[in-house]
Amino acid sequence: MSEAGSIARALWTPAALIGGVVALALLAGPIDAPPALINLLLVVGLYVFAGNSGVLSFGHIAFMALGAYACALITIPTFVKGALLPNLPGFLAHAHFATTPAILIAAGFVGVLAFVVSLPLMRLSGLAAGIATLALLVIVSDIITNDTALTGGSGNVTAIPSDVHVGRLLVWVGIAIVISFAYQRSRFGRRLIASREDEAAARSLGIHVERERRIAFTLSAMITAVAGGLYAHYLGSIGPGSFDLSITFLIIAMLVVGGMRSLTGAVVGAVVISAVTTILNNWEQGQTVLGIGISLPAATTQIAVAAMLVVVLIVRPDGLSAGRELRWPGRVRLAARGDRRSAVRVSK
Amino acid sequence: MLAVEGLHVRYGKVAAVRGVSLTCGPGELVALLGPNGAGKSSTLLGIAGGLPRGAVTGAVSMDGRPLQGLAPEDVSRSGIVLVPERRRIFASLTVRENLMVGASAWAGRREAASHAAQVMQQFPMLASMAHRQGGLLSGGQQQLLAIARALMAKPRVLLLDEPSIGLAREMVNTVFETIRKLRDDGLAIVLVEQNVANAIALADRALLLRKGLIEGVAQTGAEHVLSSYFGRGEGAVSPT
Amino acid sequence: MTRALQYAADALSTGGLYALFACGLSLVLSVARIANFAYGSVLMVAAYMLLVTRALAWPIALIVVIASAVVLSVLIDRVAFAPLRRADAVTLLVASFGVSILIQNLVVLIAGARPASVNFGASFDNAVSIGSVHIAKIDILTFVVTAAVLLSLWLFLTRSLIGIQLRAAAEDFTMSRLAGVRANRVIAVAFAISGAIAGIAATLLTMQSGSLSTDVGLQPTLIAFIAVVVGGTGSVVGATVGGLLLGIVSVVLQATLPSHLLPYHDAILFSIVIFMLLGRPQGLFGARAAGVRI
Repeated sequence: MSEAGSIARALWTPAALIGGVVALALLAGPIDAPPALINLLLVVGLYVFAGNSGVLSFGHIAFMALGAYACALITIPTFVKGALLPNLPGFLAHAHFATTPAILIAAGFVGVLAFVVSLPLMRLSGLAAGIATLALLVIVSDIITNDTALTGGSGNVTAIPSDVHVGRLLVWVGIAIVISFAYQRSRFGRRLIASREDEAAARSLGIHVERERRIAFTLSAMITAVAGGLYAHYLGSIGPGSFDLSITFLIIAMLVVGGMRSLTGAVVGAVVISAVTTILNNWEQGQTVLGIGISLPAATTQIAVAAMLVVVLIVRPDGLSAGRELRWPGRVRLAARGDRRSAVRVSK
Repeated sequence: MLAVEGLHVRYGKVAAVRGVSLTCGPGELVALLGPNGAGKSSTLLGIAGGLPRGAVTGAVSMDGRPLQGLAPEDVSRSGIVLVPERRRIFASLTVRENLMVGASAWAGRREAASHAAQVMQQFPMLASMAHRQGGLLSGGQQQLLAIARALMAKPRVLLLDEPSIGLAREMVNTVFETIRKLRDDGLAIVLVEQNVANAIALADRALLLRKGLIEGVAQTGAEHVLSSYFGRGEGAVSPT
Repeated sequence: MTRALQYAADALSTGGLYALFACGLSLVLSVARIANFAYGSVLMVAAYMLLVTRALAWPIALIVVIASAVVLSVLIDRVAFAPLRRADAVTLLVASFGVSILIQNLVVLIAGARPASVNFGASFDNAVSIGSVHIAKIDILTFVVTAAVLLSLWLFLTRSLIGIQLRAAAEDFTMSRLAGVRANRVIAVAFAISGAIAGIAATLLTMQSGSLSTDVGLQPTLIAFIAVVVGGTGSVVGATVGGLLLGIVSVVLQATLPSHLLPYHDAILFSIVIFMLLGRPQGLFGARAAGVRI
């Protein structure tokens, strides 16, 4: 194959995924798309670590929360901040950044933090690792809820400039997909994937599994922090209740339903579950479809997502994507209906 | 009678056993010999149902009743019991408890306890340490316990995987003496063994396995089998 | 001295409850290799059954509560986990996570999201005074019930044949099957006992708090998981001791932390656990190999 061809081939997966997401986001419109795009970013963030390493983290929402708060605290106008959070330490009280630099700063801050946390955490494996990440989420939300000086405690932090819209989100989603894809194709990513497939063999080849996991964990936490920052700037107001187990569950469900072992799976899972939750959420609010008024009770969405998760695990344990990436030349990216197995032409 | 016809075992893409057939009747001892990785242990595990469902194909039957695809607990109910490689006794359970678990296929608590007392009479070495944890026993004692645990199931066919490996010579003799006694009592025994001389001395038939295939069957006559095992005297081995 | 005794009583009661949470979870974990997050939802449903049965005489109510927890626990295994017997540990954990969200929201659907109050066993609200030490009756009850449950569990595991089979299966599942132990039966029994323990724990917990919400199972599940990891996965005794220790450390923290750090009680407790795991990734009582099994 020619060099140009192989480059096109290498870029095909991220390009197709981004194209599909852009198209769907435009289709969904300015109201329904942003929450879905933020979730997509969270799923891609989680995928970078969990998908490539095979170790699931139940604590990533802690990084989302940290990203959101860090970003909020340096973008709220200083005069408002003085009234809202009078006990902020000096450098935070005076800090004021535009949204994009603030998101980058927050991501950097969370990255450093995640790396420090990963030093002990990545020495654990199996259940202990899962529980430790969950404990991390509890610790972080405990701190956010109680450190009144920094976060306003259990109340909301408000007056965050709400300047994030679909366009900006799409740019970040694109960046995250490209970074994630580049990572898994890099030496680091390949080593980590090797350790996922056969840890003992990887170790015997001299791969330092803990180090590779730490790198992925840090990168993954940074993407998650970006999602948190965007979330804060999309809503304009955040509280500790936004970063709980139910969003943790939603993101894990998206990753697992799509197929944890490929970027395509992460994106497909986020898109499919977002579509379902968006529709059901609207129906929960009460909506008229084809002249029939639909009003579902409030728990329906969660029940549907949980049921989808369990059914997919039983029927198709590797997720909708079966752990594969889109193949070049892909024919149909996302089948709206019908048999996904034949519609999504996929390969490793 | 145990009859195995065209047994195949696959681990993913690796074929460990590629068509093994054998029969073993009451009071008969069939030895499975061959180098490491020949598929001997896989054959026994395949018969006993101890491998994932998709891994095993071929026909296994007991007195004409088909057994392939059955769960291991159901195979043991049909009278075929495996004494696996490395013994796998329950280290945290006492000797008596290990034995009682062996009776799971047929007994309630009371029958299990009384049968355990009975079996322990055959193994005086175990009787004296009935309440000691299995993990604290010596290798030889563990091997006897593993055999005794299998006997608790009241088996008609015993599948023995490397019973003498890693044991002191004296203990090896005890183990083989036990096996001889069991055979003389009418048990059908399929024996996988590295200790070729001892195995041949007891065997009615010896199957030679290499790379998952039966290379030869020796009906009787220890010398013929021995020499064929070491790659000579092919005339003594009937090709299959 | 009086304060110390007071705290000791507190520690025994909290530790006992945590030990109960932990042993119910670890039983399923050690036998079926399922880190069952849905354990908390069984506990939650049992707590709601106290609300449903509030008109009945307490012994009958108690039986109904425990029985429903047992049935639900076994049902979860049959419906969700039985088709996943060959799945890896992460898949099972995620599946149980899904099941727990499913059940929690079904209860929201039926009972509503708003917290309710229950006054089951209100007669245990007051305290017993021994000299100058006042011990809440509910603390005494919690400790006595915990001790009774753990003792019966121990007798069951060492004296009954199915109990011995359970221990054999926990040690080497395939070998136990080769020895004739019925896989589905031991797993069902493990889930049933785990459910019964969840039912009892739910009753004690609800009597202590007097209130009910659909996330009432979350904290106990977290604690149970952490106790299991602390004690060493794969060992019921280890997990139970882990729960007891966790409860004691928690009470000690309550008693000794300066007041401005008290809100961070959970954060500090969990950090201690993470640091402990650094030294002993296999848990306090786990064998080196135990970590590999899960």
